Amino acid sequence: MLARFLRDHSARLGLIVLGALVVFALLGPLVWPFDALTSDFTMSRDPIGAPPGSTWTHPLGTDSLFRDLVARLASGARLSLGLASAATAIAVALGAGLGIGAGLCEGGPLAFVDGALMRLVDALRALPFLLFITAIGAAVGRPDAGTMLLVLGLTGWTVTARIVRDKTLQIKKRDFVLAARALGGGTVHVVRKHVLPNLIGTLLVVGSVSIGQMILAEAVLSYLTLGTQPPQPSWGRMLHEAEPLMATQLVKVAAPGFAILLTVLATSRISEGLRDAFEPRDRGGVRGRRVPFDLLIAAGVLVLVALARPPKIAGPVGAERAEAVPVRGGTLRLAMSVNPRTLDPALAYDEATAPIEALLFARLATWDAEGHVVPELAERIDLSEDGTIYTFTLRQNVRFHDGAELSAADVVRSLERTLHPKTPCPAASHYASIKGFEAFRGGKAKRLEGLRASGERTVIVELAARDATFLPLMTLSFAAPVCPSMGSTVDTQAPVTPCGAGPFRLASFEPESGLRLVRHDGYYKPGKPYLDAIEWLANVLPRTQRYRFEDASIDVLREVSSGDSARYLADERWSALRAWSTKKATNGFFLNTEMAPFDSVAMRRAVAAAVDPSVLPRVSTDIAENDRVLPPSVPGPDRGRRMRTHDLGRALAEMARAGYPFDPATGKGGYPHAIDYITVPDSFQQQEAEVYAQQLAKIGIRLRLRLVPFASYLAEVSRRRTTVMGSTGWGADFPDPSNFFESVLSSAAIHDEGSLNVAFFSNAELDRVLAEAHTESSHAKRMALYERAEEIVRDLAPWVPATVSRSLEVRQPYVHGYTPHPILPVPLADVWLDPGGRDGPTAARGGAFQGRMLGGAAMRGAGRGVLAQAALRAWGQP
Amino acid sequence: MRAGLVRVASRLGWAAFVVVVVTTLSFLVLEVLPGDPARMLVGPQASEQDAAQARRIYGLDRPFVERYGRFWWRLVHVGPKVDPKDREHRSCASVVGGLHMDLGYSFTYRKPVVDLLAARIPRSLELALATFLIQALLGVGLGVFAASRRNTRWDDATLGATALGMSAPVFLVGLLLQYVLAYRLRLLPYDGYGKTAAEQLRSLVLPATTLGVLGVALYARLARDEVTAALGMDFARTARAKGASRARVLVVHALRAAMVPIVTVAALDLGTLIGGAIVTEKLFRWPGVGQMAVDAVLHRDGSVVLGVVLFTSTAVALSTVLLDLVLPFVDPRLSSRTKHWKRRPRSEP
Repeated sequence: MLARFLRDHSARLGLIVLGALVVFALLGPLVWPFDALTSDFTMSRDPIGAPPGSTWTHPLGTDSLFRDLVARLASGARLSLGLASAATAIAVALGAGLGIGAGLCEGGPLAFVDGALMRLVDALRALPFLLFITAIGAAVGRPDAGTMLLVLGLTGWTVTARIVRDKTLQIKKRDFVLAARALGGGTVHVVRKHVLPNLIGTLLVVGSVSIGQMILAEAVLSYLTLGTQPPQPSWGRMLHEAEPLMATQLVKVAAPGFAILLTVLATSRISEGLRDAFEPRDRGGVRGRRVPFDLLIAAGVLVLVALARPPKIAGPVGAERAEAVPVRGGTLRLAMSVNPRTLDPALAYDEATAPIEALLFARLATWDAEGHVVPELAERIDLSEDGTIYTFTLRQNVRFHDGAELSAADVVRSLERTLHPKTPCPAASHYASIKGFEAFRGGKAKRLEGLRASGERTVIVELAARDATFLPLMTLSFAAPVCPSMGSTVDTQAPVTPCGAGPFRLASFEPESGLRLVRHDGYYKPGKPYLDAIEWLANVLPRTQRYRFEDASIDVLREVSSGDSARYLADERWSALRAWSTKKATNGFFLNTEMAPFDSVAMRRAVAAAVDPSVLPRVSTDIAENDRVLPPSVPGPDRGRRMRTHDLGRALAEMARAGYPFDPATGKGGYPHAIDYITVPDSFQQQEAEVYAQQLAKIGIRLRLRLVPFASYLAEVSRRRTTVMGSTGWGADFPDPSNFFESVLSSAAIHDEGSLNVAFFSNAELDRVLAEAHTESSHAKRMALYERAEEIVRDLAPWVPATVSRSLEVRQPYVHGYTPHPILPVPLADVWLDPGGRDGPTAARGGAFQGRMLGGAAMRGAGRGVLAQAALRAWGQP
Repeated sequence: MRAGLVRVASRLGWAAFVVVVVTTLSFLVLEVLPGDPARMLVGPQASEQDAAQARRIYGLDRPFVERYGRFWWRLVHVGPKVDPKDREHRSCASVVGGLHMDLGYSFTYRKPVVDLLAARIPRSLELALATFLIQALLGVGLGVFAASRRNTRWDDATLGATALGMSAPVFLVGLLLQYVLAYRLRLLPYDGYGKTAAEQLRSLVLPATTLGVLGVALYARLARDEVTAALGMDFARTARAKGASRARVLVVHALRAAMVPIVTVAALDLGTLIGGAIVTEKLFRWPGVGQMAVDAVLHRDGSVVLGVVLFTSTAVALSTVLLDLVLPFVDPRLSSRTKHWKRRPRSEP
């Protein structure tokens, strides 16, 4: 049988290919000069803004963290091949054994075994995979190869078992089995001589299909945080990680894909050969020496992909006309990748809905471009001598979307609606300084004592104590006046149509699909807004947003993926049409000050000095380094002085002070245990952590990444004495320094569960500084206090702030007045469309399309191979 | 006939049992999974006081037994005409007459779960059926074709193509199809679910093909293998000897004999497909059950998760019942009505 197998050319070729892969897996990491886990940030980025591409020393280039891809491919081969073959063996063996058992028992005295097994198959298949994988991940804590093997093997057998059982039923009633039975053959004999040989073909097919699937499933598991933990690569995960580079460096996706394909091709050749060897009776034809087309074609495609030049990003549609003047009319079309769930201003509290809320709900006060609070629906805002009574005088003739006129009573009703004890408002406690807040929010008082209307147009807010953050709070949607139709309470199970006094009103809203806003004709600013309507698609991935933007079916690209933003930056046709919008958020990591080893200040200082986030902007164009808690986009103290600095020497000195001296030359010493770093998978935070792990290794600290789903991450970091270290960050609820420090670093933010102070950092001086700044009325004095707060955080290092993020926005030339605001979402009320600029493009679009088709035809005429043609066309060559 | 009905009834009973067990397990898992539903509703930056108040208002602090009991108690009950003003029954859907179905209320979507499912299940069924058809027709067709040209260049090409289908992850297949067919060639919409029937049909092509690629490869391999095996058997040779044409032997005799594993896989697949496709739905903005299920798990939106689990486990359990009913027609030997082999061996008809 073996001899026959080895005589089969096709099977032999399969064995050779598989053998080569195994050799690559075993010897590759030993022979190849680069390490799979080490980033080399000395390399320069590809001119198109992607990570380093192919060179002679790095034939496949590097991944987004500048790690050599050949090395990663070899290192991933060990895991992927080993895991996939072991999991397949378990799944097929289990499936075959249980399937044959069930099939033999069926109809006999042991029929219940068959029933039970098949119901078990049903139940296992009906289990919600996602939920249970997440649960197993949470229960295991630190998954390893064994866990994955168990999960893949134990979930993979069910369908096999069912197929085998049905085939067994079929086989056991065939003549030859019945004959063997009649001749006195025992069960073992029948299974061995008749059932198994007839099943082997099916099992081999199932097995060879399963190999590839198992390699890919590992990546899915790892996304569900049950797979291998980074930085260890696997082929499946490499495919996923390279996805953002697909548009510019397809070879980085193709290489791991090709490795998986080779494995599948080789195993299917081997399984064919085995089958023929086992089942000699259907040797249909002789397997001759034929050219291995499948392998050749696959290799050819890989070479083509490696050589093809990436397509240029499409240029602007039409041109900007300088002579155009603002006109009314037109529909602006936008897209977002998230799903807004609720637009109720008392409940919505996410980045996605903020720009929509800004259009629907005008507030009493807003921000100017210099970072000052200025009146909006209020005409005048007065503050009493002692700083506790605010008087808002409303503008005349402000109309809600339903036509009713805004009155002082509406303002009072709207704020009481938000702070009502039955309203699950996520930010109610920000308003705690209003007199009588506790009693009202707690349901003990019918009215909010400090809030009252005086006449038609005056609203008086009385604070329990002076509060420098109160005015910023009035710029939030929580405090926006809402129409009487929205009621004076929020019923959580009966959503109402959002209705306010903003420049646009809601015409339709379909979660998952999108929304349509139309102009509010009664908007208080005369002549504004210009646009008739805004159509906003929801749930559109950034990649498809770009496709839509390129054919001008959306007018502004607000979510440019990191890979694409590099391309837009490199393309001068877009230079006048692109702008950065900064996020008012800061990112970094926390060090839990209550847990070893970071209960030691020296250890925290060592870590803070050892990390070097200055390399991170090379990983993504959307990232800038940040050396303090406050991001530059939030008005704060002068940023002239650098706060945190990278200093390896100081870091090593602090390590010695902490009692863990480390000698970088010999690698001896350092902190003896691995430290778990908690973060969320498939995020920039994960990439950042992989970089920190390499940097901290230089001072003798070993980080182990622990990836968990976001919900678990939130639960774990906010529980006392649970996580030692991990990603953290803060986005401004309102752009004031107090929001950053008080929310996450003050003692008041510490709770046993649900603590927002995830470092559990309690410092008397910081608390005092923050309390003082909260009520201080002089701007200069406040900023000096916050500068002191920054110093405390730098010196005691409960948080290591590292980066801020920004995003590129690109508009088509016919969109005018689209200017990002430093603090507010883009004011779309000022946007207008140039009808002359927009009509042209449609024709141009048709033209481009035809040109492309003709180009395809011309190329066909040139007589290139079908495959080359398809590959080139897909890849955007002429 | 009676015996048959009893058998079907008992299978359905077992299916119901499987559904109850799976739903209960999911309930338990949701209970122990780290993550706070109230926190997910108020967002990561809400203070602990606000999160706690929201937890009380949403009723998420009620004990497990109460919520579990209420789930089954409310699942099917009798009530008056559904009226949004009626606080007791506003998350219900009226099934027939006064019979209500209630799966609770989703606070993330701010809609009753029955409404959410009612909107998405038809979309998921559509996608599942389209995928199923592509897999069955294209897959089996390719397999028979390869088997009929065994050990030729065509056979090799089929094997190569199926290998490609087996080694490409769904997201990659989807992105490539979208890039080529929608972006470069502009033959199909990028994503979404059209408004008119024609648009809907067009927008179905990409997700169904994406989802079907692996199935096509698997079915082709299974069909090829089984048909080859069947062609080597006596009955095929006899038929050929008796003068049946090659094509007739291939399709009528060999394919029929080869159907058992294919039907098994297909039926099981159908159950899974109906349960929704995660990556494909996301990629193509397909408004099915899969994407909602993922979001619900991520947001710890328990009532949606349970609603989806109830639906998908029912689909999976029913697909096996269907399989058991269909198989005897595919191959009469699989009917349990034939007497047991040990007791009375009998020859093939």
